[in-house]
Amino acid sequence: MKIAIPAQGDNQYAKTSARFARCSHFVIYDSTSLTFYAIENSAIKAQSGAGIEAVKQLASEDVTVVIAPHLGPKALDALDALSIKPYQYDGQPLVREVLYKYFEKDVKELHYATQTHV
Amino acid sequence: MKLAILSGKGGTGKTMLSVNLFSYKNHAVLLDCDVEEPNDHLFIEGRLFHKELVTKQYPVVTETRCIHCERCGDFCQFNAIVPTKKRILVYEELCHDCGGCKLVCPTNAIRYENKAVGTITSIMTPTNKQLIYGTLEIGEISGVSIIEHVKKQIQPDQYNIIDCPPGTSCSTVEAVQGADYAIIVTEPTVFGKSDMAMVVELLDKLHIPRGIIINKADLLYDHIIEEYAKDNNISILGKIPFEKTYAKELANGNTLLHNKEFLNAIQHITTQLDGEYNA
Repeated sequence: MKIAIPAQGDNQYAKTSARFARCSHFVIYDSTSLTFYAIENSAIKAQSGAGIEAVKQLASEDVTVVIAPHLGPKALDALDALSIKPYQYDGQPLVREVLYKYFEKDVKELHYATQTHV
Repeated sequence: MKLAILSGKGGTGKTMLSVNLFSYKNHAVLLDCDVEEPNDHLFIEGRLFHKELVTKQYPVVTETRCIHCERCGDFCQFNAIVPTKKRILVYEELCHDCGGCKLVCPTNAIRYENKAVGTITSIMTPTNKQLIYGTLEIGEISGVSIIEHVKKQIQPDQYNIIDCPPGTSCSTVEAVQGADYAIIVTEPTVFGKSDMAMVVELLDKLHIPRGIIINKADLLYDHIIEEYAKDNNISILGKIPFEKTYAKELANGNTLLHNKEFLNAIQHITTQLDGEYNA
């Protein structure tokens, strides 16, 4: 499966980004090949509905899990419709540290908006 | 006559000038186009004589007809319609009502329904002058259609004062376009000057003649604007001094025409304006 994490850089040692919809990159971990790769986030330039555009990109990469500190209502709605499971973590860990948290079940599954963006 | 009042920087005094100019004139129409935050009506006494809703259309999908080709999602520039395997997501507040998704749908699975995006309110003063203002619904993405509707109330044979939104975005362009003359209300600060420069660029593109009023004027700082005006060949129509008493009156929802100094400033400005416009 593929897990996506919003990041400030393009690799597993990058800092994570507090802003899901407008991060510079998504770092994606592929559990089949045990490798990381990154995509540039096109939603960073979106006038509005950036959360939706960010989710659309991840869906086209066949991502099935997203782990982020905050997810707005539009992003959560889009994730649900695209069958991508959202999880939440606290703090500002590195990308690879978020993955450790996920596998140690130290992340929270999300069902509602944690923050509203207009 | 269509006179637009602009600023660039917010808080320089567009509304102050608009409501005082409107009150000063015997006959005028005031159109408050700052639809995200209309304030003019707070200063003007009158009775409500008309109110109407402004609506837009947004897509509704008949899922049974949808073949999940995703052409609607590919077409939409605003992520207002997002096809997914489970269902088609529609974000009404992002929709710009372009009609494109329905056009590209091969199975006619999209229809449009109406939603209110704002209101237009018309007030008649005891001296038979009209104030029209638009209000944008909270969460809606664009005030442009509300402003279009407000400007439909322009009366060609009257002195129309158009209080524009701050900045130089789509809403401001919609409010100012078609004006015969634009007054740029600025303050003697570097921020005021810098944002005014953007407005001047906009007015150049729209070929609208313009003049400057320095509000909150101060002998020590006015040169910031005066130098700019000289370099760019723009007339300064007048100055309104920085006075705490003015701010207090305005905060109480009062106009300033009872103040002798202010009244003189307005008289000077209107004389200059007539000269500019007839030139």
